Amino acid sequence: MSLDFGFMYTAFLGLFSALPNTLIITVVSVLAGLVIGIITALARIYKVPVLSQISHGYVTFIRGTPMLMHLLLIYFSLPLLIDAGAKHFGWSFHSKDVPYMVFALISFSITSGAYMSEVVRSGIQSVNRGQIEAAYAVGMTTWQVLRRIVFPQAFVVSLPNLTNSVIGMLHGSTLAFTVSVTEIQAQAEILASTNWKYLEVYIAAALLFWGLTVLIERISGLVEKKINVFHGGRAS
Amino acid sequence: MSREFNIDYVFSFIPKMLSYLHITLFIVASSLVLGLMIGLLVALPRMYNIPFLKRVSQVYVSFFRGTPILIQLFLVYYGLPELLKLVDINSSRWDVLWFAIATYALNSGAFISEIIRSGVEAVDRGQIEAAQSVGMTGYQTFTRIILPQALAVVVPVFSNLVIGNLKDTSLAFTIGAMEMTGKSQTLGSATQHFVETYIALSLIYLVISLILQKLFKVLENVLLRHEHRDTARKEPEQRKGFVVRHLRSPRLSKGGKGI
Repeated sequence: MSLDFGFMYTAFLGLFSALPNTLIITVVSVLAGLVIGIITALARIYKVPVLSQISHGYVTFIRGTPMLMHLLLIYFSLPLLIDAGAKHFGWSFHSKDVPYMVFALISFSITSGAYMSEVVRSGIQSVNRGQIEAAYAVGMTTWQVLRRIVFPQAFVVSLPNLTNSVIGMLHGSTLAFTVSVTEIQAQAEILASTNWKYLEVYIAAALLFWGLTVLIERISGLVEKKINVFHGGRAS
Repeated sequence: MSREFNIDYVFSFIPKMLSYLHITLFIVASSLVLGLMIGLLVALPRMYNIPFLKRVSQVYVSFFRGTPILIQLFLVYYGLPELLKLVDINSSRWDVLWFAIATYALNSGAFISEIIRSGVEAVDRGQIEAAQSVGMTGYQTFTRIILPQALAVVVPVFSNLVIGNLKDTSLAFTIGAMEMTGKSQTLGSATQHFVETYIALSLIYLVISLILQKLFKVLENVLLRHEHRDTARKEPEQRKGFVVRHLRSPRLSKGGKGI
């Protein structure tokens, strides 16, 4: 067992060129996922007809199937839909004009949306009923109640789960290599096969992800500290 | 890609992939059994505060929860043979499946160690003192008092882990393991009907996940009999707060397991 530490350092630096792609995938899927998550969670909490059933089915399906399936389904079915649409409506653009990255972003947002939906839902449900009733009693509208009372308190409770989902999406972004997006995993494969040193490269990639994960946990810890300054944000 | 979508393919693919289901389930089951052993070994130094070993456990858990399973697969695939060479074992003829199982076992071990710790911590100190006051030995206290209650607390988390593991097995094809997803790759390439292939495969995963969820739900209710012996069956959220209080322990689902 002879590890080439010099090369490991080179590989580590080489992986940084793919870091932006990994971060783009993570950030976009988390933000888009939050939007989807809030909409679906509210639909389920307020029992909006049709929308709540759709949300429930969506969350069940996504959480019961591997993330890889979502990616491959989108990657293979969207082009068919786009091209069918192009034929039907005479659009000028075709599926081959869509960058691979877009497929990855769409599919990961859908994945993240379902997990965020559960995070948001458990956060909102942990807010004391009395808080909401009190807000209505002083004459707030539903939107005001959500914005001023429910969301801030739900956020405090959901922060750990939110952090876990962000880390999950960061780790999930490695799947994008299957659809030829050059993120850290794909870059590692390129570096490994060109230099014929597989183990060193994957150790470097693991260390990079480990560092990122610890960083996210640290940031989350700081935010938690900041929120708890007020002590009022306890929703239980 | 240019082929028309045909729903018949979905139905014809399902049985073909189901013939590889036992391999997927074998990976899940064996990695869980190994993961339980690893998890126990890793949890003990931290529960009993053993110097140095405690640090090793912490780093182990942090690493396996802080890196993507895909990277772990490749690390084990390329790294384990090197380690085995040191003790004069030639693994070049081994089935890839074993490397996949080793990865999932190491990965689950990290998560299971945390589950064990939080389960044991969740049991009320008073329960243990009460057991000792009626004269139980340490072993009796553990098997009769701590274990049943700890199990009840960790079942939902464990359920997530098992389903997460099932979903993670879909990545084993990247190192060449022939389980359901590996089979789907060959089916897809052979017929060029990728969409139907992945619809069929998703449905299989979904059904197994739902079955597992149901089974764990039943198990949880059995273990929580004592919680609502004299009340009507309630939703878990409304139970006496005993279980729910500990389920909010954020440590458990850390590392984005199960996505």
